[in-house]
Formats: sequence, structure tokens, C-alpha cells
Amino acid sequence: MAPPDANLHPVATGRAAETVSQHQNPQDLTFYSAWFCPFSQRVWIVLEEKGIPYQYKEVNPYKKEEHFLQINPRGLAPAVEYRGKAIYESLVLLEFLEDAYPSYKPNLLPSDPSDRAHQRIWIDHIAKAVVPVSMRLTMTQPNEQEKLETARNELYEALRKLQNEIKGTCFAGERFTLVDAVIVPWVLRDYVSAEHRAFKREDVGDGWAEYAKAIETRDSVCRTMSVSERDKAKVIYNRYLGGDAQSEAAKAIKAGRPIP
Amino acid sequence: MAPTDAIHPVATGRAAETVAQHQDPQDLTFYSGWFSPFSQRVWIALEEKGIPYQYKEVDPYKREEHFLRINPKGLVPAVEYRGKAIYESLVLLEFLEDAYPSYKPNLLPSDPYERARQRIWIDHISKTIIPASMRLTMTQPNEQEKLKTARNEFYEALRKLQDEIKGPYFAGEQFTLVDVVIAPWVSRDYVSAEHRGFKREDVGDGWAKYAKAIETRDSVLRTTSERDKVQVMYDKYLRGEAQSEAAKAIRAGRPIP
Repeated sequence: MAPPDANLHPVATGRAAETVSQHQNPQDLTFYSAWFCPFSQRVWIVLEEKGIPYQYKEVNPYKKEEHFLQINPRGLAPAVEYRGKAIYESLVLLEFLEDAYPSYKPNLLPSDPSDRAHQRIWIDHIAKAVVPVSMRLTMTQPNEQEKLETARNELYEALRKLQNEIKGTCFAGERFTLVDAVIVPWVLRDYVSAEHRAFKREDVGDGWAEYAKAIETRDSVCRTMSVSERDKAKVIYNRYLGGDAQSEAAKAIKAGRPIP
Repeated sequence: MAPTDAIHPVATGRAAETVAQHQDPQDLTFYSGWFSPFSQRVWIALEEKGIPYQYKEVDPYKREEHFLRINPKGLVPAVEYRGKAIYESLVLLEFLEDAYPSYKPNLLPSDPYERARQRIWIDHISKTIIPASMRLTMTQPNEQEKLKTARNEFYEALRKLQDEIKGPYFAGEQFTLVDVVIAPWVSRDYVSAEHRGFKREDVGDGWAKYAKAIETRDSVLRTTSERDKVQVMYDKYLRGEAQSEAAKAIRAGRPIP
């Protein structure tokens, strides 16, 4: 039996396709990415923000190919090969890019230790409280009204906590920082919950819709987006909406386990 | 009855001495639960690096008002540094490296790839080892199949880490954050050994040696309290009734907050 999403459109489209074609030359850093994956997109956005030279390689994490498993034994995107060494986990990669390319501006983490800690606390909140709840909402079936309302309220609560910390146009004020990069792929995809799970940006609270708009229209975000070609991504989102998504993240949520 | 009515209110043994040595106000106030393995990570790092700190005992089950202003989650560990509140054990470990770079040892390497490698394995400990460890402790002994599965999952998770150990510590001769992050669970594995059939030797070659090296590190010994004082808490875990946020999360299939 073919892997669950073997009929997935195989490559990035739209503006993301242009970005991919601009990054075909070998570099110190090879970026293994899945065009549709929000976790991959975090890293892609940062690579684009900082203008780091990279070679883009498309991987299909639903079809774990041997050579890719050697880079990342977990077989998940995103992953990076840097001067022959493999690194994976989106949040680890974001910190790595800051460590390895300090002269590539902007720096997406502040230099002050307390401010860096503040970034990491809210990245942790997004990872533990926003992303899993967002996925649960998408996967909750619409005929289960109570569960749906609970899931939606949980997501609103989780987003409100983050919203309370937003200082300006972006999370930290006027500068785009890691917190923005970490959440924006989910903001971009909230149309799925809006269309199918009655999620409304306005219902989060004052300012959320503006913040969402500000970060989703950022150039690095637009340049890494195929999602605007919504029909290509639909086959994946339909699986989430149907409750039978086969990503490791979805399976983990269903099993009550950490997202690997 | 509050979950910690029966628990001893302060650190004991060598940990009590360490507490006594850290009573003066400093730039950094460390809010800790003496029994919490998450707190102990940060405590170990503070002791390793000789950072000046004032130790304040917090009962995270009591959710006291003034502490909720430091950490709205009401959880330990937390730190107040020059008036700013910081929490989450892993965030705190990174913070101590950022804020006190001249306090040796540095527990993170300077090379970007090596730093990433540390963080990958810290992530593995958080996502795979700790939940498996807690699930094992909370699985009831009369559920033989579940117990065996839980124990094997735990062994598998530890083996993946073991494969990366350079010896005597994770990164080789240097004690680093990966060691700090897992040490409190290694120190507490006697609970699973006595009640859930866990054996260090069954993890694989070298695990028992590594575990011994970690648990006998001075900073670990200095932050460990007497076992009899914490037994009442582990009894709750063993009965599947623990009321920590971590235990509740594991039972509900949610991320540990």
C-alpha cells in the first residue's frame, strides 16, 4: 500500500518555487525541507531573513528515503547538513542559525540574557500550548460540538497568553524575532480552522488579527509559502480535518504523546 | 487535603547544607522545590558554576500569590534576576550560560554544531525519556503487559541517548547540559528499580557506569535530599495518583507544562 500521502504534490509552488530555484547551488549548508511543512517553514523563513547561503533539497517525510534517514534518523523535516554534520529539530535549528551565522543580519535573538530567556519562554509556550491545541482543534470532528467548543476555547486561551506579551507590530516590538518565526507558519494556516472549525482571529482578542496580518505578510514568509496554492495543500489538510492525518505530529497528538 | 500536606517542607541531608549556604540576597533569587527534579537541574548548574544565588523554597502545589507573580504558571524552578522573572528549567539553563559566561565551567560548548547537538539530545530527554520514565513509574504493577511495554519503551529511549555518550560524561571529559538535564532522573531511578523492575544493566553496556558518574558528581550530591523524606511523594506516583502538573499531563496525554 502506498504511503498515506504519496499523491502529494511533490514540490513547492508559487513564490516558494521561485525561492527554491534560487537555492539550487551546493553550499556549506544544505536545507532539507518539506514544502508544506510548518516546522520546515520556520527554518526556511529564518534562512531567508538572514540571507544565509543554502541549498534547498525537497524531502517527503511521509516517504522516508534511506539517504535522508542517514541525515536525520527520525526522518523528519526540517533538517540541515552543515559542513558534513547533521542537525535537526526546528527549534534547535533556529538557535543554530543564530549561533553559526552571527554576522548575517538581522539577529533574531536579542543579545541581553533576560530578553533571550523571554523569547525562549514564549517559544516554549507556542510549542507546548499553541501548536498541539491548534492541531487538536483541526482534528476534532465537527459533529462533536462540545469537544469542538472546548478545543477552540483552549486555542483562544493559548493565543491570548501570547498576545498579552506582544509589544508592537511584532512580538518584541518593531523587530522581527524568533517568536514571530516560530508561530507564523500556524498563523498562515489558520484559514483551515477558520473555514472548517469556526476559528476567528477577531475572537482571540484585540490586536491578534493585526499581529497575524503583520507577520504573515512579511516578505520572508511570503517567499516561503506554497500554501497560497491552497488546492495543493488541501489533500493534507483534508486528512487533518478527517482525523486521519499520518504525520508524526498528528499521530502523537492522537496518542497523547509529545510531538516528536 | 493538599497534595503536599504530608511532605517534608524543606531540603534535608546535603541539600540542606547547600540551602543554608545560600540565604543572603543576591542578584539572582532561585525559587525551588527541594524534591523537584526540574528544579534540581537548575540547582546543579548554579552549584557547578558557583553562581551567587539566594535559595527560596516554594511549594508548587500551594500556588501562593507572590510566587504566581514571578511565574504565572506557579511552577518551579523559577528565577528572579535583577527584577525580571524567568522560568522553565531548560530556558533557565540557557539563561545561566548567557548571563554568567565567566563562571566556569561553561556547560554548553562554544562550537555552534556542538551546541546544536547538546540541544538535540536535551530535546530527546524531554520528549522521549522523561515521559517514558514517568509513565513507567505510574503504571500499576498488576498490569503486567503495560508494565513490560512501559519498561521497554524506557529502555529504548535511554539506549538512544547511551549511543551518543562519549564517556565518562555525555560529551566526554566535560560535564555539560545534557548531563545536568538527565541527572535528576538518574538519581531517582531507584524508585523504578525497587517497584517497576528497572535495571540499569538492562539498558545496555555503559549505562550503569554513566549513571554512576552522573549521580556521584558533587553538584548533584549537594542538591539531593534524604530519600525517606520524599518517599510519600513517590508513593503517589507509584499508585498512579500523583498531582504534579507533569503527572496530570502524562495521564491526559498532554505536553508536560
